[in-house]
Amino acid sequence: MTSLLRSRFLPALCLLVLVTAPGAAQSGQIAGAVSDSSTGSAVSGAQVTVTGTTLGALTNDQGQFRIAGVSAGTHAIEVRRLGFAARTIRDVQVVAGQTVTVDVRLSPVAFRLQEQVTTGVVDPTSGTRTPFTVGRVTAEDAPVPATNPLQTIQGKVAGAMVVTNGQPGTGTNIILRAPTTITKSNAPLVVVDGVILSQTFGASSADLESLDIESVEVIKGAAAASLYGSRASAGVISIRTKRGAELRDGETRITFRSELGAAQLPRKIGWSKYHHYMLNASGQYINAAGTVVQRGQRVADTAYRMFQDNPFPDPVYDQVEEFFDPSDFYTNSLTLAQNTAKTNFLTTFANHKTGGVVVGHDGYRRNDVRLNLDHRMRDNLSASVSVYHMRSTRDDLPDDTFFALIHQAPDVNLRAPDPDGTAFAFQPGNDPNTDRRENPLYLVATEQETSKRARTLGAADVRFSPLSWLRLEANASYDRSDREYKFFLDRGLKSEGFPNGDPGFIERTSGTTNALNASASANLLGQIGDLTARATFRGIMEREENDFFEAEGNTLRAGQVPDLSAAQFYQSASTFEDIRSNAYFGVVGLDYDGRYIGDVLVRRDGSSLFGPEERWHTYYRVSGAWRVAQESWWRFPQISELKLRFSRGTAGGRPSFADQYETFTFAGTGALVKATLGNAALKPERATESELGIDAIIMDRVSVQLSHSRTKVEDQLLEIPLVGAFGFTEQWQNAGTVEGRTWEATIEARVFESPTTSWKVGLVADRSRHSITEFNTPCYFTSVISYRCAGETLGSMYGAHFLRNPNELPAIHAGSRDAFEVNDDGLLVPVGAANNYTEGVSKRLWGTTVSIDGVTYPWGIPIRLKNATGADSILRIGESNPDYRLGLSNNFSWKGLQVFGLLDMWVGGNVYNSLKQRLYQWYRSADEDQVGKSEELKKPVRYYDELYNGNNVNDWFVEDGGFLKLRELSVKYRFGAPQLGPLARFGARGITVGLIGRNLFMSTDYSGYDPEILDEDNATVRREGFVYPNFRTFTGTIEIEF
Amino acid sequence: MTTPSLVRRHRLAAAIGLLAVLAGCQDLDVTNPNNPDRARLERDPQLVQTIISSAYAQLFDFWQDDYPAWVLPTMADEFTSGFLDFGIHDMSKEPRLAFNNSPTYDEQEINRDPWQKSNAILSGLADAVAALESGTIVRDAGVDVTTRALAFAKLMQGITLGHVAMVLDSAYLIDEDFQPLPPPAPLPELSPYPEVLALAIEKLEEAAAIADTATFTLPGDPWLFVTGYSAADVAQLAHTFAARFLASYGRTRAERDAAPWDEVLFHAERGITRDLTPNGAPERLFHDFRRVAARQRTITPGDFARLDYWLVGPADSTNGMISWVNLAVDARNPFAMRTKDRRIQPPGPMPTDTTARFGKYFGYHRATIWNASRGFYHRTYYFYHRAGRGTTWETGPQLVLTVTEKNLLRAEALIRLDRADEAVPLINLSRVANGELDPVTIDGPPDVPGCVPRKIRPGPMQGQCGSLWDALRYEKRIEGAGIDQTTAYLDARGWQSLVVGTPLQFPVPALELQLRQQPIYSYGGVGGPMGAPAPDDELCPVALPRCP
Repeated sequence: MTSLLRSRFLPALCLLVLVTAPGAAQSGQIAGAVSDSSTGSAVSGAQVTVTGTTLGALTNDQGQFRIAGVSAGTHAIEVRRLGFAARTIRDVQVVAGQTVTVDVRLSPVAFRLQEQVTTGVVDPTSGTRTPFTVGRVTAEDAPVPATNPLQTIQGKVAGAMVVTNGQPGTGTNIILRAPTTITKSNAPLVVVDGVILSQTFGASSADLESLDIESVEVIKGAAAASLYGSRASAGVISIRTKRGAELRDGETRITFRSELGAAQLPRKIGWSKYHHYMLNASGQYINAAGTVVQRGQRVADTAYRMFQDNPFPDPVYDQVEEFFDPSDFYTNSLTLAQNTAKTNFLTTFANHKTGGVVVGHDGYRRNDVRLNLDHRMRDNLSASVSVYHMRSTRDDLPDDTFFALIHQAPDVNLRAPDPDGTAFAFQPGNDPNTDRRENPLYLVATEQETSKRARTLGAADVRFSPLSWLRLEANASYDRSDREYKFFLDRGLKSEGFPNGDPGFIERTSGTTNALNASASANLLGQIGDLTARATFRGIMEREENDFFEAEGNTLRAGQVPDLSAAQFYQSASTFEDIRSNAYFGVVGLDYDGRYIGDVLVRRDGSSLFGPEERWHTYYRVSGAWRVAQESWWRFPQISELKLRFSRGTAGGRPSFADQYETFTFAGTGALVKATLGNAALKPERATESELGIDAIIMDRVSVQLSHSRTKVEDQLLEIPLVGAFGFTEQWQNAGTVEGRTWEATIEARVFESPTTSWKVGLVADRSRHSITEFNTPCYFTSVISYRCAGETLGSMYGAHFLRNPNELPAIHAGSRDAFEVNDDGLLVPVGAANNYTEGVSKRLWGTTVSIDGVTYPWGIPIRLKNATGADSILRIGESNPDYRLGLSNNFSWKGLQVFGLLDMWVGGNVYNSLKQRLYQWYRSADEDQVGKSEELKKPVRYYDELYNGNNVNDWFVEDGGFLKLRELSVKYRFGAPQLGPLARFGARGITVGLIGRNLFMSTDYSGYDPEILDEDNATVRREGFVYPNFRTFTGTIEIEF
Repeated sequence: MTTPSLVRRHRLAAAIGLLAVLAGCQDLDVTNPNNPDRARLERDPQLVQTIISSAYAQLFDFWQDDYPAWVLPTMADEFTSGFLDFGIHDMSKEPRLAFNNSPTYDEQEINRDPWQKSNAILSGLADAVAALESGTIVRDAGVDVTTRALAFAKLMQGITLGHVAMVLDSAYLIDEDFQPLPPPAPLPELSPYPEVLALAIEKLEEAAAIADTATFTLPGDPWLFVTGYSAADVAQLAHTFAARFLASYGRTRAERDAAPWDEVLFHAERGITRDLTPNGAPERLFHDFRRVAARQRTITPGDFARLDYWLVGPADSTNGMISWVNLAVDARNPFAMRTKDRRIQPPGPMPTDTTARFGKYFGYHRATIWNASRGFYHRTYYFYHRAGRGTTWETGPQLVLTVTEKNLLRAEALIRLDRADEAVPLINLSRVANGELDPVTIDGPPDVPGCVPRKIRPGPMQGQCGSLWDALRYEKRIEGAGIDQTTAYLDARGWQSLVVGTPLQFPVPALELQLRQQPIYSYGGVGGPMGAPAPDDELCPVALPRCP
């Protein structure tokens, strides 16, 4: 292919260049002024360029510009300015030795659709001219800075599903459109100012600073992402940060911003308040003989009324209230920016803390600094530098924190002090039967566990235009991530299994990632009449090194010495990965009179992650758009923009470093064992996506984007279980296909606009469906909830089924259906022909058995569907994917007041509530409290034991996961200089004060903390386990500009 | 062509050339420094030795540590628990359930772990033995130690295959002669457990034969984690495991009766002369069974698993055990015993208070552990501390194979071979020394109040002093508890003492069956396939006094 490129493509490029290169001529000047069409005011800092040349200028404070040295003849000039629609003025007649005056009126960009797109295209291009859809969010759309920058797109970009983990300082899960891979990450590639972020080994998007964001662009699939080759099958998110370029020429601005408030748990789960132990009339615990006993010796009530309806004789605590506690949340930042004729820069420092919501948890702190600088050395030579550095510390919670919490009995005081001096008791209860888990607050207080990260991003670009039709660019970017994890449990502190003092444990891990990317490209431009052609040829080199080391030691020789050398026993491990990629691509974009737009891209991509025979692969994109409303025959002025677009492209997904190697692994105690059977013949997962869409602007009030995409991802990388004969348990193979289809709509409406008031509404909606369409290996279940087989989705849930209808009974009971009844929970229960399910107490049937057709059943207890072996039948019991999702944003401003609100809604889809299932184990769920029920409807604890089902997945815990959230709310007021009084004398230009809320309100039928959750081990399944719940924040802000 | 156009062309060429060089300059061949691959294994004798020397540590991981190490003692009513972890509750629930061989079962590791991990060990050993047999020379400080490596490899092959043959119904016969071809070649056939057992015995006998003619000493760590283990010790170890496997492979009483007891006796007589006590340390030879049996999460000792009354109850001199047995299962509440066996109880009256008391191996604490809804019959006042308490279980010598077991294997073989009189002193060795009990005779324990053991099964002989057969079984269970996690189960099924419906073996794991595209099946459950018949363990294999 390389030779093909060299033999055919390059001469074609050369030909294009030679044909379109302008000839030499005598020169004249173009001068004029740029103004805002809506206000008439001058527009400074606008970039005016002579199309097809390197000639250009920036407008000054008066909006004026002058370009000298323009060859005599007819030219077009293009004027660009952030916040305005780019405009091209044709037929500018330049006469040698004369100055031609051109005044340009720029229209403010009314819609995101019209803004310039930079991701997935070769040159910045107006959204109205891109042949594929690019989701876009700007700083203006994000008055509520996200706690993780990638959350900025949440509810604002159609087709983007963003699910966060509540643990402060952790990343997000993002799926664009439908999942593209069964086992590898569905996370899109993230690019920040040209730096491709490494997200391996704990390098996290949480390392970035939301306040820096100027815009986020989202290209959602291979139809647009081919430019990024074998890493882009899941799409690309490109973040551009502020650079000071938006300031007027010569302007310097200093901005101080402070946000301060609190984080709190928005929603509690139902916690039991009663128990099922015997009490006497005085409310004391007694045994079966009626003797008063201590709590530790209490006995369960008699079988026929073993209900959880007895009040605790001791105080009852709301353990959610006891465990969770609001804490502080703040961000402070200081920004200095300047723009001059040759240089613009922005430097900012920010300091952030999210305290979290758990008592004693210190949360996450981050300090970061950024410098972005652009410098134009000559008219045809410019350079940009972006540098970002951050350091963060996260207080990690002990692994079992949330699991330990759900064990806590309602009559134990978690906040009572421990005799060892710790603020919280180790085990406040003393019942070997139920108070088995340690007080999580004791663990949080005593186990010192922190993760520190440092991240440095650097990018340098140089652009040189030696000829009017040729621009050369070189880029180098660097991403370094340093991670350090420390765990220290001092000897003598209590821990699981060591109520009299742990021997002590210490662990250290250190991880470093160095990613270096470099590219060089030649951009060629030519025009023939109304046809504009752009071509780019680029070579790319990428390299990533991951270095990881861990060591742990236990049985410390001395207390209060968090030093590995104090340990008597050690273990250590390390890994090193070297990942290299080379790539070339060529892209040709054609634009005929702004009406017919086409784009052809070919990328040849090589990666060390594949074996020698499969190292190089080719990706392509073909796209086109027809701007119908630009046709002369268009007769619908109410629709000023109507674009039909189609794009088809391919992109890849890569294996992990180790997947191709057939290795033995050193396990604990030095054992050398067969691990994964290597596969040097692995190919990339190959995504092919077709996208069809319509973009329209109606009445200059409403913009609409409708898209439909179909994606087929072949050669899925699957870790295939192997039969035992090979010794290796798995092998990575290309063995499946996933297909997805998505409908998306983005509507932006300017509901009301006046010089002082505006109201904009944005609506995004999407509906995605996907399934495994080919699975070239025997079907199998993964972990405990998913099933991998053709026809299945990646969000399906499989588990046992409780019978709900007599028709589901096995054939043996065909004549005995009247011996079963559907109870008030909707579950089919065996009662015997002479009874009904409400007679458990009156006839003392609870705790007995009933024989029906020779089968013995516990009376009144739900029944699971069984297979021929007597084991539970495993059926499809739920589906994680929502039916559709909606995001509705409102942005209202009146004079200095701005109000922004974002509602986000998921309709349909299930969540598996593993958390509640475990609550059932220890009778901690409010479901199990029987107070308030009539005796006829009460259920004994044994009933809930059956539903718990030994923690095996079953359909009782599948819940509707739909929700409506008020995700963001911001109310701000800006006081201008005239209102500042004395502050204005110190140079203040304006002060903005406001209130911000995140996740303020949620409406859902789901009974857990938050239905917006993904399984820890399987990011395509919604399953709530023992993770940090999402929380709300409510803050006040002040921003002072100088 | 004009000069400017030439310049342009040269610049363009230079630019394109730069790109080409940039993109092509990086070599995409990288190495994986993290783990050795098979090619390196074939070149590096040290790695061959590492695979061999680490095999025991891997075996320990699942036959002693968690799956199926936990579930087997509870299936055999040696230990009991009300917890679901490791499948112990599901498999010890009464009435017994069929084994849940579902690919979604939360505890599917019960048969999956021994399957996958055994195959991984055997496959690695097969590569290593093949390398040795094809001429790889292993040296230690310049000395050729290939024979040592080969003997130990064969020993590990035998032990691994033997464990598989004990509990799984079939398996692959993985050794150096087993050469499965990758798909699309047909999958290799599974062999029924008698063939697996035969291969295991063959490997053990090969190991013994090599060791018998060699002189070497095993390095301490990892190997067997003991120092000074000689070639003779290796041979004795091979014989001991051969004796255990040959005695215990039978799924039913009939099959155990039909075992080659002369061969058992042959191997047992050549068995170990000192206990195998690998030296444990935190994070090395992790032993979850002992960890949770010994731990005190709260002030109550043994709060995860405790001793089943079926283990200690035959030593009860009160009628507590008799009453307990005669109650319906769900009505069985814990009780305090009185016994002369000092392994269970120190001298003194029957405890009635909540103070913990410690016998030599087991202890008493009057606490009712576990939710009532999990079954009262799991509740017991007796806990295990022989391996230590707190953290002591994880450091120092860990008893995993005892001379006592070998002696009692010999004793059982002798009884079955009608040489019961020779079995008597073997049974008395531990009984007297450890239990401080009166010695048994061929008639059984002396017929005096407080005799140990008593007959506890309902019937005309209930409450009477046990027979020599009962004393043998009691002794082996008491001495074996918490030492090796398989023996109680293996013995119980052949002695017919498992609770009715207990699976007599495990099926091939569901995942493997799915991969082989074979139907999933299972065993056990009352009336189910390969479910244990009603217990009848006091019936002696040969005529002995006090046998029903």
